[in-house]
Amino acid sequence: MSRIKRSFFIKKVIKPILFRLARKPGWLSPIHVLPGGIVPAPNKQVSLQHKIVGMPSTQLPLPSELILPLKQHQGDDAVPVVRPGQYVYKRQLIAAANGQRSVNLHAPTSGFISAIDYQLAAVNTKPQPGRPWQQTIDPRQTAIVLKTDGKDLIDPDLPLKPLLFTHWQQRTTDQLRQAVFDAGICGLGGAGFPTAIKLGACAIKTLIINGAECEPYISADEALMREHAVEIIEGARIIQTIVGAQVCVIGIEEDKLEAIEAIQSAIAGLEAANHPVSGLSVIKLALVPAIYPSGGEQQLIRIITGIQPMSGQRPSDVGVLCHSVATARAVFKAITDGEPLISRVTTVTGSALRNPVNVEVLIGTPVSHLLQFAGCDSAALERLLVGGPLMGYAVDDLETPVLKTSNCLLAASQQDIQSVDASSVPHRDCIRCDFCAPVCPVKLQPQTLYFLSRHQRHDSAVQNGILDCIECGACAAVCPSHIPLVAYYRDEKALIHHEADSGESSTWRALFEKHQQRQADNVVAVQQRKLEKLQHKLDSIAEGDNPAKDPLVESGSPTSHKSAEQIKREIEAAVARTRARKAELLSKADANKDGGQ
Amino acid sequence: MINILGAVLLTIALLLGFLWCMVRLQGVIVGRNTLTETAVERINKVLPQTQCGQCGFAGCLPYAQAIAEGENINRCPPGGKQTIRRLARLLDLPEKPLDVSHGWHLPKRVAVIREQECIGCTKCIQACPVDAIVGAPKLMHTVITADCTGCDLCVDPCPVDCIDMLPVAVQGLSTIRVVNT
Repeated sequence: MSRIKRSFFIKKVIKPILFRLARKPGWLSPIHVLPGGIVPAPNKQVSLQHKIVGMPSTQLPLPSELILPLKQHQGDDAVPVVRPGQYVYKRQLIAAANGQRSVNLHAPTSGFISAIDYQLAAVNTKPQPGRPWQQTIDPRQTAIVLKTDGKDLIDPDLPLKPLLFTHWQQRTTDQLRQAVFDAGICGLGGAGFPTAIKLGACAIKTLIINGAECEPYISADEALMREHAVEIIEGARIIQTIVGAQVCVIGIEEDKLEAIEAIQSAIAGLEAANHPVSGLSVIKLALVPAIYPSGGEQQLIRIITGIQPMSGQRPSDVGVLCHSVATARAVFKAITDGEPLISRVTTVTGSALRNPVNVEVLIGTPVSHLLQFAGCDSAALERLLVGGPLMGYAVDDLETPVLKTSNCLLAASQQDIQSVDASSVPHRDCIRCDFCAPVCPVKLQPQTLYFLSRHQRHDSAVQNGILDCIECGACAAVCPSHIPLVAYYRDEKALIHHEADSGESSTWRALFEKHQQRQADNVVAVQQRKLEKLQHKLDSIAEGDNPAKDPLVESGSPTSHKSAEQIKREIEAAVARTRARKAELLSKADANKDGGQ
Repeated sequence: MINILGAVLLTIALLLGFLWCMVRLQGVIVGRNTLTETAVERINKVLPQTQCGQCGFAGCLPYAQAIAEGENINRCPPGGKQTIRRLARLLDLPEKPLDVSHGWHLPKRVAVIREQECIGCTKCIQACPVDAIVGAPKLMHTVITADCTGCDLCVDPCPVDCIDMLPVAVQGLSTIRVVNT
């Protein structure tokens, strides 16, 4: 009762006052407050000095080999549809989606398939949200290796999809969604969820296009918004049409002025051109505060709509859908140009590089190729991170390919590591300073979770909400003891999922326990039987009965009553019987074989 | 008057605070099931449960007992680096590299019986620690792939060498399919 009253009081009285007080000077779409968050040094300008560099260009030639893992997304692996040695054209399908919860893979350029095999590189070692145990169990990935021929040819016989989709407004939503599925698009923001599944959600009221790129160093989305704003807006309109959302909001951080200008002029241009789509309103722009992690899906939804999906709910359950700007552009290209997802904009940055840039890189390009292009100083390179400094994962192998989900390559030198994360320093003990709790955007207690994870108290960790942790790393960044908190949480989550969902090791444990129990029972039973027999014998001796009545002696009785000659004859008869049977069986088997042949 | 009211309110506040602390301590922070678990059980949960005996003990539980009594934590080849790290965290010990005298960490494999060659001797059935082989005397045996831990213990006893260890493609963990057959 009191809880209901309290929540009513908070909802109706306190929250409106707080929101009115805390509302920032937003544009067009009002914003709400995000609890917690940190303000790390952005370090984004270094990679934004030049324009995006295209991949097959004079500056950046094609690599000699592309490595294309079959699983670059959440869901099932794609199935290869090409053979080693086969020639493939650019945009040709090389691995087909294995069911709806999977994603197609296309050849980024023309060339020969040189191998389809296991690749021992830790391609995707970051635990995926929702299914973290997969990578921890099997880091091995099957990949298709494509030897490029440098011609970058498109199949001359490929049907011209652009003609079909120039007027995409006239297509049905199912056709558009199928086109997105065929193009092999998954979420380019980092999680890699198949976009076609997201677009199938119903009862969506608000579509949010995520242009808030809050992690330090990463500037791929910002560069994209500066240079391809029109394509993003058009892509957003296609997505809006497919899901039938009434409102479409583009969320951009308030310090990205050039990107905001570009997007605003694109929206103005769209209004001027005025493609009428019935029942759909124009696209709005929301400025979100430049704090980390305002660009997380859940966080951006909370900032823009004020809705917080409950623990375990997807955003689509509350009528909201969130796509990144890169995904919107990929959808635009797939629908209007018929180009599948074969390239993406990736930031190549870090102070170990001489020329940090944003490149539009073909999927599958080895990291070493990009590092060479950006002028990597291998002596200064301390660690290579895929993703940003806070949520990325370190890779050791420089032949690791760029995946559909890799938005940043951070060639970190010692200086970067000290400035953004300190997990290389051996950490000290927790001093319970409680700096971590106020910065948590999900309002968890990082300190408690740390102790519970460290001691692997799974039940308590779940009760304290470890599964709602978004692994943003804000708590680790403010920790004065430099504890790599997120590493502990990831490990704990992997363990929890491993125990709860797979059940493999617990099945084995149960089977082994049963097996041992049975063996122990067997031993006891054998002893019991022996004891019983002994008891019987003792009883009979005590009674002074005829030994012939004793079952133990009786079993041996035929020998005692028969003469030696009789026994010999019986044995010979038995041997003869067995031989005859064996011969019969053999001849039968031969007959069968002949018949079979 | 105000003094009395203040005193009453203060008492109520302290009482509520005390109760809240109790609730937190009992329900949330400490948790329920973990209190009843022994150290050996918790160590055993971290081990991979392949029951292969490569560590020199008769299974994962005996090894867990040995660890609880101070045995080295780096003797489990199927668990590899990950298990050692988890054990180190659980027991607050420094991490060590795997002791390869007990075997190398290999990707998971399962036993597959070449069924045409099986003579039905039941020796592998007796060797299997998790009862993952079915069959009867003088009849063909087969491996329940989903239950096989890949422990290799059935390979040696087979008199006709008809058991192969093949790699599996792990797809999720519930569905295991064998490749190269």
